[in-house]
Amino acid sequence: MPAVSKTTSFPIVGVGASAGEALKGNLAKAGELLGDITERRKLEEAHSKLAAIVEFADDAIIGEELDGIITSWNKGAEIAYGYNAKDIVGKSISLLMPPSHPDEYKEVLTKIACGETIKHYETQRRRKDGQIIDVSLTISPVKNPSGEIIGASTIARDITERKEMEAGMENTRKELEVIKKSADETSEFVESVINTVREPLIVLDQDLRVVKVSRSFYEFFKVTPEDTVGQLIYDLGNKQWDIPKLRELLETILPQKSTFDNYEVEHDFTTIGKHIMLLNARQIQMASGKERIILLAIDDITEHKKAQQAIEEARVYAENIVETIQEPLIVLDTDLKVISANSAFYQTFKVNHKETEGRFIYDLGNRQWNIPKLRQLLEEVLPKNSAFDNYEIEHDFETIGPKTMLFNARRLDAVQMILITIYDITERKRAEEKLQKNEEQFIERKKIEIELKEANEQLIKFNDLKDEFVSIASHELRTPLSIISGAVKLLIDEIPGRIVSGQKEILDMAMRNLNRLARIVDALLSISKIESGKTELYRTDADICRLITETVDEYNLPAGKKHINLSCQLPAHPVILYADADRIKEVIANLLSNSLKFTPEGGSIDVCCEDRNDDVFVFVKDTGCGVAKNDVPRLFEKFTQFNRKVGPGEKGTGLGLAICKGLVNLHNGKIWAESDTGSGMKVSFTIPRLSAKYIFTESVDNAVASSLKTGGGAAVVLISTKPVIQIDSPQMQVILKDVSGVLERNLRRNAHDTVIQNTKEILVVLENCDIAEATTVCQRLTQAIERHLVDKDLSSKLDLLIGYAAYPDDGQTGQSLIEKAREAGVACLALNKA
Amino acid sequence: MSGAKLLVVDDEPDAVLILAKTLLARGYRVTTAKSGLQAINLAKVEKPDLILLDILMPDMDGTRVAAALHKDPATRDIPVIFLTCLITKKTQEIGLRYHDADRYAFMSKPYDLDNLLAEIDRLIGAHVG
Repeated sequence: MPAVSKTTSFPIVGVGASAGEALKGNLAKAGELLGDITERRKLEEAHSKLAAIVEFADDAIIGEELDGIITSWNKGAEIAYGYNAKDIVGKSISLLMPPSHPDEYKEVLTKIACGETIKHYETQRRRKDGQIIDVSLTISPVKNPSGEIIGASTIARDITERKEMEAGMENTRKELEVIKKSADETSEFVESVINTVREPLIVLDQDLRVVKVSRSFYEFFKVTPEDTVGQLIYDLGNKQWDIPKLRELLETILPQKSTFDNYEVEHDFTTIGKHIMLLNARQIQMASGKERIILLAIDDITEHKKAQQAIEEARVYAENIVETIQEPLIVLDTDLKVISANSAFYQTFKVNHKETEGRFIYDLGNRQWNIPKLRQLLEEVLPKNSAFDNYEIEHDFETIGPKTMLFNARRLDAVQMILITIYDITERKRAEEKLQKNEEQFIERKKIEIELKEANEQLIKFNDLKDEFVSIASHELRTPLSIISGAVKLLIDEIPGRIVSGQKEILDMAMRNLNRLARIVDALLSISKIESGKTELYRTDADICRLITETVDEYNLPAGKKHINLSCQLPAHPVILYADADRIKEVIANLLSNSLKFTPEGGSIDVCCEDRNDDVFVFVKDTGCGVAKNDVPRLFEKFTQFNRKVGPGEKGTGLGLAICKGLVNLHNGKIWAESDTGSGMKVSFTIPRLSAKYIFTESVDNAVASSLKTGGGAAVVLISTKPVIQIDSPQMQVILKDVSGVLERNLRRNAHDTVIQNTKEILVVLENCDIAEATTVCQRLTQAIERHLVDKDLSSKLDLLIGYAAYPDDGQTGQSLIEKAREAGVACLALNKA
Repeated sequence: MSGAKLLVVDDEPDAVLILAKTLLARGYRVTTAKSGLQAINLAKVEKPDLILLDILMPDMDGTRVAAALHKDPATRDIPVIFLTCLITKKTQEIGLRYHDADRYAFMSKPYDLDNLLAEIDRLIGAHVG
């Protein structure tokens, strides 16, 4: 503003040449003070200098008398007012007065007359051309050397420009005032805003000292204005605001960027604990200068953050659940468009996000989801019910084939969503069906099992019945058979009357077949019993050689009749086996009978027996027609015939060899045949030699089993004779045989009760015998044997050991009873010796 | 032995009839009984030389009849031939119990007539002898 700057120049009292007179008084006074001429000259020089200054000063310098007559007028005045000095000097100053206040000069001069000096009096004057100009006047009294006030000098400066400026200034001022007012209002508003906003606000100066804070700041941070205003922000509240992130914001970020929003700072305040804040900062350059202020708004988002975190956590949690749920899950909006689906959904239905999200559910996967039942579910069921469970839908999907699924849906009205979970129960369904099937099968099987069991029981019953039947049938058959046989025999014997020869032949034929029928009935009964395991063996020590000889003797006559050479090859010594003698005889008889039947006249039959270590080997060999080699294995089957020519004599039953096999097997033996067409037949069998232990145990076990049935007891007596001096084996055997004879005579029991084992021990099994009886029997046997030994002069050569044990007192099994009896025998000997 | 007096015991009338006829034809004197009890009574009265006794009979089986006869001194010594259709363990046991071969014999039915006649003569002969 140039006007303003001009006013700052000091107004100089100007003394022009024409204004010299007016200044004389002052100079004279100065001359008087100097006192001499030199001084005067100096004064005059100064005076001329002053006059020059006045003349050429920019300001108008006017001299006047107290009545207003102009006495001097300089160049500046000419410029300012437009009048020349010669035009105006001598005229009244009133010429210069503006029409608005023409007498103003009088008042001014009156004041001057009173000695006043008017400085910088701003008023208006009229120029020669009539233009009113603003001037600033400094009016001083002019005194004569005697000090009287004789006039005034006026220094005027044209301030029109300045005034104009000032007027502009005024306008500006007024405007500013308005602005200021509104600014004040704004400020007030801002202040009230500042104080009413809940967020704490802090205003800092550029040195980061607190200028102002909002009320909420005090409340929030629990501080007082005294500890706050004027403080360095970092020092607030015991330096708890010295937060690195805040420093970073204020010192690094803000200088570069005047605005910064949502700067998140987490800090643990000593007064209020851990808080998370969003800082919004504004750096404001003040208009007045380089000064800056910083406005810091603090938004405590701790709770918000917490809530957000909770929401986020919940969301993540929910999302995780959704994701980890193995069942496909799909979220639809109310328009049935897919909002999202979990990975199980994508995996199960072999689709991806892109082709799923935002799509209409029915349109998914090439419209394969357009399932009528699903439509019904979503469009009819769900609008009426907010939820439904286990809605079963079967559908053949393009991508994954036929599936059975359970749909569970929830209408979430609050969020306008529909949640659908889908359980693929295809496998389960299949498994269930399978299970069902299995169960049915199981039940079926169980049924069958029960039926089988019943059938088995029935069979056992039937088998028992069959045995009973066979035995009764054989009785029932035999009775009439016997009567018919008797009757036919009567006729043949012509007892009721004579018969003619043709009749006799017929009756003989009837008789033969009746006999055959009788044999078949016997054989059937026999094989039935063998097969049902009902055949019991009555095993004793039997001499196989003797059994063979006896049987062969029976066949000598029929063999002789047929001119068949029947020969035996047997060991010279007895071959003793623990076996059922009658059954072994039956086997040999059957084999001989067969051979006799199929061997033509003039042939031969050989029977051979070999005594081997572990068994006895027997064979019957003939020179008969034999059977084809490949028929051999079938020889032992029931009712097998091989179209062999049968000679005269008894016909077979078709059961002979089957019975032989059964009986040999019962003895744990083997039977086999060797034959070929035309080269005869050789049937061999073996009967194993049973171990002593086996025989003893079996015989005692049998006794125990039998006593269990009858409810009685059983006992065993074990006798062994130990030679004290040398006795050779055959002699020993004779002795034992003798002892055995003694036992038999004294037992009054059947022979099979006694067993000689390995020629060293004799076991006596007493059936239906309690312990008291056993004691008696044992004593009697001991006495008898001792007597025998004395008689034979053997008592000094042998030690006799006799012990006994009774069931159930001394043991439960054959083996334990035998051991007990043996121990008792040893103990008894020891006692006797003592 | 011709002329000997035999008691035939069987619950089966036909069996009794045929055996009686056969024996009569061979010169024996024959008395018949159709039950065990009748047989015991007849044996006391008739004092037969031999009894042909069926084992399986409804009222009283042959072995019990034999035991009753054995108890009575009047009938104790009469030889008995058991006739049976059934060879079972039981009959074998009976066989063992009556193992006095001079007093008892076993014949299975249907019997071989010649064997039967031979046994009859053997037992009567042994008894008389």
